[in-house]
Amino acid sequence: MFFPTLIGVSIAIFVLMRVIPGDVAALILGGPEGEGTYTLEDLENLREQMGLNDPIYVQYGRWVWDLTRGDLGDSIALGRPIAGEIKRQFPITLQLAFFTAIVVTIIAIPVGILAAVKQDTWIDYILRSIAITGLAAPSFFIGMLIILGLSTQFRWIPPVMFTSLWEDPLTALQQLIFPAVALGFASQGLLLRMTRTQLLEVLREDYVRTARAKGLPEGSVVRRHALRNALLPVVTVAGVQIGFLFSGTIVIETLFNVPGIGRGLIRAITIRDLPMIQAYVMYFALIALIANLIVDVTYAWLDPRIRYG
Amino acid sequence: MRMRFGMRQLLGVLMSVVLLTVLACGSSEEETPTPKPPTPTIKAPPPLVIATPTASTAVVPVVPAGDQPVYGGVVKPVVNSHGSFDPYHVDSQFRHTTLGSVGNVWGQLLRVNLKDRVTIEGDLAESWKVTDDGATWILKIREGVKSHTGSAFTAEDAYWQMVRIVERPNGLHGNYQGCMRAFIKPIWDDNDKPLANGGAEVTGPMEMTIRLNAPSGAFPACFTSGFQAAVNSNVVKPIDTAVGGEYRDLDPFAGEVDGYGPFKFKGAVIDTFVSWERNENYYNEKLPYLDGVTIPVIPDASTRTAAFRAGQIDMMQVFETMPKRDADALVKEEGAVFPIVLAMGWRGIELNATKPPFGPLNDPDAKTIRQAVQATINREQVNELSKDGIGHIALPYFIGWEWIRTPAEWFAAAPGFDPDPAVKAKLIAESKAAMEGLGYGPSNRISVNYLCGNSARNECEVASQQLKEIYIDADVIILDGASQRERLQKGDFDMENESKGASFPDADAFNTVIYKPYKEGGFNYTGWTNPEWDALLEKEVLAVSEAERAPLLRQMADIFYEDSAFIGLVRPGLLEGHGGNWRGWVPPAHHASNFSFENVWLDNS
Repeated sequence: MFFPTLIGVSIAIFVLMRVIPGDVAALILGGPEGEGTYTLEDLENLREQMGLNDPIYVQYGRWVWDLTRGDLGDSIALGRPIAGEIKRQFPITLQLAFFTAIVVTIIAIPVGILAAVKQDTWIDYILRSIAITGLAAPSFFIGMLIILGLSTQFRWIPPVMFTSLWEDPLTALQQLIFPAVALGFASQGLLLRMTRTQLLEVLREDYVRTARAKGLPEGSVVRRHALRNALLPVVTVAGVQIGFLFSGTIVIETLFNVPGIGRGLIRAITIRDLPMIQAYVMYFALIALIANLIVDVTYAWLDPRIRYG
Repeated sequence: MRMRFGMRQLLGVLMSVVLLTVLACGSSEEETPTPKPPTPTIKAPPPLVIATPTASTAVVPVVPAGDQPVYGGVVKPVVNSHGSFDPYHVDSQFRHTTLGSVGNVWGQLLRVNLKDRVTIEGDLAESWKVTDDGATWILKIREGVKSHTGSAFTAEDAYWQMVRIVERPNGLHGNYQGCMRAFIKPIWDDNDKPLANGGAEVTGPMEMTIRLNAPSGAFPACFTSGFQAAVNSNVVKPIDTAVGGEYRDLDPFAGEVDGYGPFKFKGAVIDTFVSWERNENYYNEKLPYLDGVTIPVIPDASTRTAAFRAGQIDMMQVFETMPKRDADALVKEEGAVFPIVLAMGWRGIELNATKPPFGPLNDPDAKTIRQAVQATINREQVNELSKDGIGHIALPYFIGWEWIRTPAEWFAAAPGFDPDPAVKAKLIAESKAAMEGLGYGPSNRISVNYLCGNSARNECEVASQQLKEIYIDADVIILDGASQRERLQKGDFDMENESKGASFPDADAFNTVIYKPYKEGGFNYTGWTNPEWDALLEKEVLAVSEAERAPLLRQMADIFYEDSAFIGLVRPGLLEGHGGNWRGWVPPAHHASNFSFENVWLDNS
């Protein structure tokens, strides 16, 4: 389903960009704010030059052909090749996503295990409350609270001029930790609850009882026998969360001034840079599909029944 | 058997918390936030002085009176996007990195004094003289000026600046130098060869002559506007004369941002920041006071506010004006200063005078309806409800030019703009009666469409409500700029909201850009023309002195008011806040005034 889905997304975004009001040629001539001056003749000439008067399937075919060659076109607002923009922004978003995934994983899974083994104790109640808060509060809201809290209470926010992790790790970590927390807060809630529920279910299985009856220490029972089976659905959910996580970067990057793909998409939407919006949507679709592909492969690795089935 | 939460796990959690805290509170590359003054200072808005620049070679003291400047420090103005690094490819949105770079990095031949904002002074041109017929300007280039890379500034460089503006070789954008092209004669012929007695010529080792099509009172304002950057001919000549070449923006990473201003390009990371450092070879050896300027790129408004509080920026971007309540909070809590800066230009409703109900032009009933709209709109209310009460009335030729009319004179001549509630009540009653005289009333109302950009939504809604009083139901349609422009060009509208900044600080900017029909490159979609007005304009553009121009402009304004195709509303007041420790800064009027941080210094006492 990888390629059919990708083709479906490409058709949907291409058609959508053409049915919404606003003409790319008029945007180029008038500028994003519509203050540039031009005549109808200029407009018609540019439309012809850009092939906008061709039938939509011809335009689509041309766009897809260019896409396959890695040519995403030029940004209307920046006048630069879109591929170059994405190439520059992608590693930044990847850094944030990677950092978030680490934050989510190192918090959600161990804490989920803790909540399961401490079921119905005060520790469990507190952890579940945190998880539910994460599920209820959108990441942008958490992000805004963090920015607001830091700036008004501490007169400090993460450095606004982004630095690469490879150039200045300490500054980069300061810049990434808070957006990662904001972005990961919702995901960790879901994963924490999922881990807890699955582990509790597995811990009640007969083979776990057998392992305990053999006299194995509880830690060993959980780690070696229960956890691996309990993690299967968690991995599936985590894979889906990667897609959400990347889409979450759209607002979080803007809020924390991280110059990645998400901030780029917001700018493109704000100034109606249609070719850029198309390219970004394709990028997000590709990321979601690759994440799902990785989940499928991981699932097979974790569960031999799928591998040999 | 239950899992134990042992010491090792506890230690791990504690270490994570400590690490997070250290990361959050550790040092950053940013400078330590500037200490805040103990008591917040609220700076009163500057006087609305927009006078025609006055030619003078008098040297203005660079040291602010009563203060002793100190050297050092970096200011950190913010931008929402850095835009192009080429001064001839700036867009309509003022940015510190685009229009703001002209005076800071590039330098200008002539400019308006940074303190009084009125007097013309030489920048890279040391002096100048104008011939008796007023149509020829001879500039003497300042000796000893060097570019940031060390090449001497010569008349040749000045000539290539004019070529770039007037001839636009290789399709150069140059949107905001249109007034120069209107005033200056062509420089090259069709084969790109210099014309005899062309618009610009090197007439001496350090002398360049500019020849105008005709004498003009508006030319000094155009020539000194913030868009006229000096460029290094070594850089631009190869680009502008490349046979079969295409225009491209100057590349800062290839050393092409090589100007003559007080600051030089230090570095940039795309979409992240731009930084300038002091030009040690600046021709004015005492300036600038600052070590440099760092300009972070922050697209989000709330993040900009947070960054201001955190001391990571210390100047807001003009035209990204924050709500007044946020500015007030920064004044109170952070000791910031928020002068209200003018946004020159026109903003209001254009009525389609080519068709009913607001046209055709020669229909007296249509004129009555247009005049009723003009008289009924309550600008004070629009200002309060959509501009935080800090906007300024969008009269033709701008109320700040008192050499044309004082505010009282404007209100007497255009009573629809008078803020006096009694005057307004009387006008509305008269307008209502006039509409009833035409047969309109509660059961016979006019329905029209009203096209608006998203940023004008509030004022459109307010104006729409006000018009109900005179039996006009205006259906507000929110459109993006391009869609709106497309419908306007097709004449597919009844009313539309327009906002256009003046491209140079002179009344003529309104005539050449705003009131000129769109087919001639202006923003007039109304279909309005007036032969009497055209005749006055012909005289006005040839008039040089304020005394000659003022009566003509007054008559032209009266015709606008009488014909009522353009219904002025309110221009925004721009809250261009900066740190409370800034000294020596006089905000320019935007869109097009020149701009430089060279006199700014930081009082950290």
